[in-house]
Amino acid sequence: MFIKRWGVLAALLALIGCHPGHDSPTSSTDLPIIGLGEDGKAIVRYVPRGKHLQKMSGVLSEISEKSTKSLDRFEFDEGFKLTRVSVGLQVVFEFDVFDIYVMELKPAVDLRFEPLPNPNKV
Amino acid sequence: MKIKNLLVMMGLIFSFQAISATVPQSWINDSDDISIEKSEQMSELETAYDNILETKGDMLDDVAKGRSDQRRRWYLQSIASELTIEKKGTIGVLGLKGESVVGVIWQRTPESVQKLQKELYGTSSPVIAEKSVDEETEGNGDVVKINSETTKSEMERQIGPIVEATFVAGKVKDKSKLREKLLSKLAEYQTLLKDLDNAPQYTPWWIYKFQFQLNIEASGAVHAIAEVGTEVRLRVEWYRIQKKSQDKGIFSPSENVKVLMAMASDFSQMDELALGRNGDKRFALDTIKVALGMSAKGKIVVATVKGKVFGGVFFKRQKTVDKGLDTIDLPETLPILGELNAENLKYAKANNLKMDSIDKSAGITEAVYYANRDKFRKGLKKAVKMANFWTRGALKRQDKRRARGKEIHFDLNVIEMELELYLGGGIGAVTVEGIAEVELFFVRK
Repeated sequence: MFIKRWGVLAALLALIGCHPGHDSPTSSTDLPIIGLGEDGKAIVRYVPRGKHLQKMSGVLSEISEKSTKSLDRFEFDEGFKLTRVSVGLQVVFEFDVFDIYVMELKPAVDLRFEPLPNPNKV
Repeated sequence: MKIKNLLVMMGLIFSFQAISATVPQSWINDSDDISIEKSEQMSELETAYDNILETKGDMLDDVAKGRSDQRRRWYLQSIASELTIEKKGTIGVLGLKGESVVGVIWQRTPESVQKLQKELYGTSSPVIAEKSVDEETEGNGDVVKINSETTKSEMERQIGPIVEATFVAGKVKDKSKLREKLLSKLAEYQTLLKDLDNAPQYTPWWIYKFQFQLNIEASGAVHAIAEVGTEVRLRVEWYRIQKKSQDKGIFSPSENVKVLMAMASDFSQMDELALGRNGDKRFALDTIKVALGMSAKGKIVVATVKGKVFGGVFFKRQKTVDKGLDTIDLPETLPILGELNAENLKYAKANNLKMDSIDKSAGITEAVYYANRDKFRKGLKKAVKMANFWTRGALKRQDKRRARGKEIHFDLNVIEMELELYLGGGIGAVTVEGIAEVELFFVRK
């Protein structure tokens, strides 16, 4: 009886918890994102793997597309040789906490673009 | 009744899954414990780490499939991201702010670069040059590279465009003052490090470069430590010249060199990470970086206070060494600059640490704590165990990706592991709220 009650409660909590981010994992594949809040204290939130993958892949592809397109068209002064462009990217995940407040955590990546080596030039 | 049973089952499943993976507490505290046994905790940690790497790997595959850089002269060469640990030990992807414990760099595979070349140029290079750790991990911005013999005119040649660009951008008003102050600072670093060139290489791990950050004010003033009003930063790298014709018999190192020699000697605890076994597929330790500060007495110390780190020293392992380390009287302690507060004083008293250089000049009070080198060596052994976990996990994930038989566009090739050095000499993995004093750079072999 005791186990059944706790089982029902846990199931309900798990169902309530099926919004974009949680403060505890609901699946073994949820991705923990950890950062510092305004007060300098650590915050941990869990994002479903699929959602994280979808959002990050989409943003990275778009940034990559736009960056390489712009860099291809850009002409530099003769005195400079641009060898690498680094783009820091933070993707904002908003965590609704029972509609009381919204918390932001930004998993960050650094994208590095370089000129494609020309095999016809020694 | 059936619905109720279903809910019970769901509840049990979700309850089971709602466990977050944590590193052992001994990893993130001052413990000397280096036993990392196969346990349920370690197995959960391994799964969580693998899940993060798998997600990142899949994300990169998705980006590569999007063909965003197809037939372009520029391409996405690498992606870096970071993992962190919070104080309970939970590991996760670093978001917003904080210190990372592990940085990973995925580089474009040679096959993928060749494919892009064929699409754009109709042919491809037979070999794609691999990037060094330096090339892959160095930050953004301007760098001035010097050694003990760099002349003033060579320095002027290097800083000239930087001074001009800073002035044109309106970030500095007085460019002649900036030029003068930069030259003066570079000369100061040359003097500080000059005797390192003459030091025989008594230990396999030895200094290969120093890195300093210079902070520039709008007035043209230059500071080694970031201060209010300094927005422009310039990185200076000093490289050691290894002199061959030195009289090793009369070498008498300065106190600063002795501290660095003592550290280098202790890094032999990490040899297994650098050497491995011949032919082993692994991530090998390539470089060790230690954060440095300066005591009020002008001595080089390890800095654990964020605003007091003025640079870092990089060690690499060489194959041959000079004999004669036993002729040098190395210190038994390691000087560490830490905050002078009640907590640290209590710690110093409990651990019988000597202290000096109490600096009250900058509003913050700091002291130099003399850590026990024996404890430092034990900490390094603990770091070896932790490094084995991070690097082996990454290697396993790489193998799994390769085993899928799919086209691989990005390989995880560089791992950067960050460690916290405690005032007594112990070492732990840095947490998101901490500060890293020792960094280990690994490259895939």
